[in-house]
This record gives sequence, structure tokens and C-alpha cells, in this order.
Amino acid sequence: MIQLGTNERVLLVIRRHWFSFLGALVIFALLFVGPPLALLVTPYYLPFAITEEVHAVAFFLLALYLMAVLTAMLLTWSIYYLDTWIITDQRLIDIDQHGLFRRDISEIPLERIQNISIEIPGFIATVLHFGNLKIQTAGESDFTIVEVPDCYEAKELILQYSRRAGGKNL
Amino acid sequence: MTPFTALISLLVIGLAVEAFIVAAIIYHLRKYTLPGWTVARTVVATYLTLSVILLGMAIYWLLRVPETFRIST
Repeated sequence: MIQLGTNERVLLVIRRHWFSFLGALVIFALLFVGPPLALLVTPYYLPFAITEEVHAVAFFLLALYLMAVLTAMLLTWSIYYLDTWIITDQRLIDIDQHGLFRRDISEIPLERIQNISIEIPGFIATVLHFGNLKIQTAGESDFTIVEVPDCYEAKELILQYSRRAGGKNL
Repeated sequence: MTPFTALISLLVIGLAVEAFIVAAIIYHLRKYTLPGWTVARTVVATYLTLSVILLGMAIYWLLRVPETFRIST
């Protein structure tokens, strides 16, 4: 598990907005519901397509298929869940999850944050209140958190604790 | 190999692959989340429950495969 310092306190955990997971969720829902429905209605429209002999085999393969879809769903969700930003009162931990076995973990001490800018990428982001946070740091490359829910509140919180930690350019 | 043996092989291989993937997911969720978080545990428990139900269905339908599929051709 992620180890925090003795006096370190987690202020906020940021994950991408649920909207970024919606597309995958809809696809998985269709994959999960579609084939069982097709198999159930097929005997009504094509009475000779599924004979009694292949009936058990078809349902056996359907159960295996649903297990595979369920596992793929869990895998996709875990990648979404592990791709996170953890803001503590001392640092910002960025875990970029690119697949199950590939991730980049970086840390920024709050006192090194120089500036934070917000980008709202479009209509849906405006309506659902999410955006991209670009964090400029002293001596390091910029960090970007994409599709942050309630990005204005997140920005204010990071700036507030960065000032307390001694950030001078804010 | 009879069709029935092929179905059993499919089940065993499928289970082995899924067990590997799920073990890797649980390992990463344990290692890279903060202590005390219950969301990941709840999701994994739900997944395992659904998987056991589906596995039960698969075994149920496998046992109902007709005799003609169990005879070598």
C-alpha cells in the first residue's frame, strides 16, 4: 500500500471524472446483456436454430463468455481506479496507470508548485464541471491532471496548502 | 478428443487465464491504494460473487451436455 509520512494527511484523492469511464461502461453493458438476450430470443424467431442438443453447449459457452466480459470489466475499472492523484498536506503523488503492469509514479513537494492553470476542454466538461489541471513546478516539467472533477475546488485546495508549505511564486 | 473434452479444456484454460488476471488485479489494488479504502474490496468481492455464480452456471450446463457430445467421432 502507499505509505504516508508520520504527520502526513491525505487532503484529496483525484480520479478522472466518471464521464471518462462512461464509454467503456456502456460497451461492457452491451457486451454483457446483448448475447444473453440474443440467445434467449433466438428460439422464438428461429425455432430450428438451437436444437436441444446444442442448447446446453450454447449456454455453457455463454457462461464462459460472460465470465470473460466480467473479468475485462474488472480489469478496465482497476486501471481507471489505480490511475490517481493523491494530494496530501506535504506532496502531490501522481500515479499514471497505463495498463495493469505498467505505471509511472511521481511526486511533487507542495512547496515546489509555482502555478496551476485550468483548461475546460468543451461543452460536456462545462456542463459536468470537470477540466484539466496543469501544474507548473520549479525545476521540473509540468504535470497535467486530465478530466478532474470539481477542478476549481481542487486547484484552490492545492494552492492553499502549497502556500502553507512555502510556495513563493503563488 | 471428444467435443465434451474440448469443452472441459476450454473451461480449465479459461479459468486459469482468469485466475491469473484477477490475482494480478488484486495484487495491484492492494499495493497501490491507500490503507483503509473499501471501494476496491467491495468491487472485487462483487466480481468474485458474480464469477462463482457464472462458474456454477457453466458447470451446470456442462453436465447437461448430451451424450452424443461425449462420444469420440
